[in-house]
Amino acid sequence: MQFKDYYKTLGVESGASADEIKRAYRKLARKYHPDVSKEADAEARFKEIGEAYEALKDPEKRAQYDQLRQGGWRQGQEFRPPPEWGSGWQSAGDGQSYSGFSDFFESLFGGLGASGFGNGRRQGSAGVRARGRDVHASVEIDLPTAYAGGVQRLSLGGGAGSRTLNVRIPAGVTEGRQIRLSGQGEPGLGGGPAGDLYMDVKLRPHPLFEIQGRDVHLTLPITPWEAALGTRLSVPTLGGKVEMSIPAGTSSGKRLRLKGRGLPGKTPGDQYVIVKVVVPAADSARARELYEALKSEQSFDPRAGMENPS
Amino acid sequence: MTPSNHLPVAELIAQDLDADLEEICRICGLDVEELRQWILEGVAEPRSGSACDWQFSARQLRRVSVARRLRRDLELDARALPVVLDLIEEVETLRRRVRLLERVIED
Repeated sequence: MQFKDYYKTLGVESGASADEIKRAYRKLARKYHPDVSKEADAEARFKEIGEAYEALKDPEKRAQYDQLRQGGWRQGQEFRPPPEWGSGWQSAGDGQSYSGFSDFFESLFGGLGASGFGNGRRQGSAGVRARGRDVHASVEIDLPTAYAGGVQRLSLGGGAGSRTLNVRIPAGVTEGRQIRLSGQGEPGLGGGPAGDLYMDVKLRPHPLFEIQGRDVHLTLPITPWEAALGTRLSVPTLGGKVEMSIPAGTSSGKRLRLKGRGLPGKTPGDQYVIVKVVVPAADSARARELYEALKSEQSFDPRAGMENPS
Repeated sequence: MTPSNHLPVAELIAQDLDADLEEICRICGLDVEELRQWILEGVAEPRSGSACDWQFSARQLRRVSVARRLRRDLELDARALPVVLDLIEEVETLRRRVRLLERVIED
């Protein structure tokens, strides 16, 4: 495992006061909170920040960490805990951790538990039978799977508690919906049933389609003559290619609707095709000739409305 | 028999979930009193009825679970949660629209 420099993660000096650490954490937490942030790696960054804060906010943990860090460890260095480290502490239990913290954190503080962050481990007491806790996670689903349903491999948690799971996803999942996996939460105590796993769905960005609710948007490049004369062509949809006609005189930005071709549901979404006229360069004598002919024979003025704006 | 027959099956939580107060609390790991307070503040809007038969949609469930994370991770004041949730929803909608419009105008 790799050594983690928690001070560096929070961007504070090793002598920082508890208040400075809290301020630094709050600022970074606001920036990278997965429910707020638009940063691509927000979730991973937020976990690192949370882990660093968890280690440094507690004077006992911080003192232990400082003692270790004084040994001269650097961020990312291959790390093995000293043999005497953690002796006499409680073991990490069943070896399954859902705190989402790294192996490094678990090896240092595994026996101390994580308070208030994520799902702290419950200390098992003899004879108690209880249902395991529900676990929350977010999951990115491929658009074709959201449309048709299918099996997707999900990575859950991070750090020491990470695991992967192949899961059957129902058709018609949309952004922001929740899905439930029964019995995939924390294990129960004393033979009690396991909790459930709830996942917030995010749709993985697709190279062609943009999704809003159940509606699918596709930008369709066409030629100026297709736009002017109209045409029939075949366009991709999530359910396969579909023939559609482009009416004569279609300008860039015009939106055409393919009813019911969006994501499935009680009321299936539509697919909107947004036309984008792409103009080829006049890079041959013949092409220039054709453009020149249009120029001399057409009186079209797209800027006519700009003369007397009011 | 294919191995995929044994895969865990994800269940889509219906849009018209109709979870009651206790179920929402169990799913989100909140205590009933705290959620009651949050509802008074406007974090979530139960479908109707008196406090004893409040029902919540999937969207409301999502608002409560986001609120819980924001409160836990950013220590937001409960009174600030509704406006933050509203803004998050609006920003999400706007980001999607911007992405869409950028596709149309970019080369």
